[in-house]
Amino acid sequence: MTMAATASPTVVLQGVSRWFGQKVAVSEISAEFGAGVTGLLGPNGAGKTTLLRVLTGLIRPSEGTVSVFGFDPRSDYSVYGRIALVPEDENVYSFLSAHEFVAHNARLQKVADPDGAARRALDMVDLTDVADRKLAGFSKGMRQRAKVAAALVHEPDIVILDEPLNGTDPVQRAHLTRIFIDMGRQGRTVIVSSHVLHEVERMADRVIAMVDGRLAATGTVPALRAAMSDIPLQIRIDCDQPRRLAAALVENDWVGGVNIEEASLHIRSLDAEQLGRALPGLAQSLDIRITRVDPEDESLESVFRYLVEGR
Amino acid sequence: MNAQLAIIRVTLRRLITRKRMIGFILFASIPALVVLFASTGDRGPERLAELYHNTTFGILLVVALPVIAIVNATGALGDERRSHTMPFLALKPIPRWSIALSTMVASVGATLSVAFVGVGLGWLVAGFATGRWDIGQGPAMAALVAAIGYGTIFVPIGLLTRRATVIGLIYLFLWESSFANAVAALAPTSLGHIALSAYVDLAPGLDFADSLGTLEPGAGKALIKVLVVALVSLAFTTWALNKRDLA
Repeated sequence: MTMAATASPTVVLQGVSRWFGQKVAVSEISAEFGAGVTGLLGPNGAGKTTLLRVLTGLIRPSEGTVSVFGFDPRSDYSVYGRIALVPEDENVYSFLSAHEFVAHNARLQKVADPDGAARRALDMVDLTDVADRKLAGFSKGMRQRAKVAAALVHEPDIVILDEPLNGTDPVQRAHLTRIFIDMGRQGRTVIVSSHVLHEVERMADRVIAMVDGRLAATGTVPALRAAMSDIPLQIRIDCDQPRRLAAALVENDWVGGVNIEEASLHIRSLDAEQLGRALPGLAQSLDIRITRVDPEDESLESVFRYLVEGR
Repeated sequence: MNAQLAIIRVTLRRLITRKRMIGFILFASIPALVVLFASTGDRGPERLAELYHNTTFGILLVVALPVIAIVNATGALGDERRSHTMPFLALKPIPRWSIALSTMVASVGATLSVAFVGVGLGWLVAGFATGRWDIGQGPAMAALVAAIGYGTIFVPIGLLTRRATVIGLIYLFLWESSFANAVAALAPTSLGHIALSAYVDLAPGLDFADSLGTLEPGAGKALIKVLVVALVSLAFTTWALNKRDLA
């Protein structure tokens, strides 16, 4: 069992497992979350959503305990006044307008001025202009922002966001990312799940990586990057003289192997940066015309699988 | 507006959609339409009153209202779970019993809004046709009893299973319409028969009073019985919200 610890934790998971029949969705996860943005990273199906649902008390853990500000959210509902969840599902109360939806959430959170709080929250996510439009007519990205506004309307201490950038365009993405970073800087606990590494990298101070329901790695983003730099990369190079280029490449110790397939080389390299530096010079000196260089097998899933199985 | 009223309002808006309401109201208005059509003929007030009671009981109270109530009750919390909007309701600092009570009030309210139109129209048409303005008391009380009974007991079932509506319809057509009708001793287990006991109390001398089985006519008793059913449902729903997975 791996432990991901933090100073002054607000959320503590101890040996949390959750299975559905024979399927283990989350396995023996112990982790702590505190002030700042923590990225929960993992490929689709890694168990991130299940973990967040356990963490918020939406579902029970099969084993282990969850503590939010020292309380179990399933037995002490008062902690929900300090938590907010932006669920992954895009479903909302589509028969309500954005303002009605956010104000409704404010009322359930017992906010003193629900309409004023709703206006401020909608302004924060740039939805003021469409506040009176029904959510049924919203795009996925707009719904996502409405959900974020509904979650932030009571200014929670803990914000849990399950793939919050799904469906948003680059401008909205940058805007929401800035909001999450600011909340982390204000000392709130922000937990953001994503399957996209660079998304998390942009906003998270700390990353917890999950694969197959298990905790695969934890630490700062640079530490995770460093761990990932040891991964042998498969790179495809298309050129007009593949055999000649292959012969030149295999002489270098940073090339682990070469396969030739018609006009393509598939190179296994332990140092992609070195390969990138050497390739143009080699091609020029041997008069080889390179038409394509692409990394292969660089999915987050393969990276995480390496982190889990390769150590 | 407090949190409970906010839940009731949003649940009502989810349950009372325009298309659904038009369908439900047409369904519930069949007795009124039948009496209206019949009143254009040469039937006397006694026969029109008999027709009114037979259609109100046979269509509105035995079929339309229970089906409408089951659809509303199973959707009150069940739709939140099925459409993945439960986090917007459950992850709030509100006692679970309060969430359960609010959704039950909305479920009963949604059914009563249809019953109000169906029973009210029938009462109006029958009142004009027969000249007896007390004719709608029995149906109105029976509709209230049925709406509370069916409208609360199926709320937790909707939360616990996706097949709640089918279970409700099986209960309605297999248990109530078949077993509880065939075996007199089973009548007290049937919400429809409890509603009928309220009806017969306020509209004595009806042919279908024989269907009461071992139940005695009594509007007050019927109301108390369904309020007990509602309390048990409230406790069960609160337990389910506390102990079961909500996503």
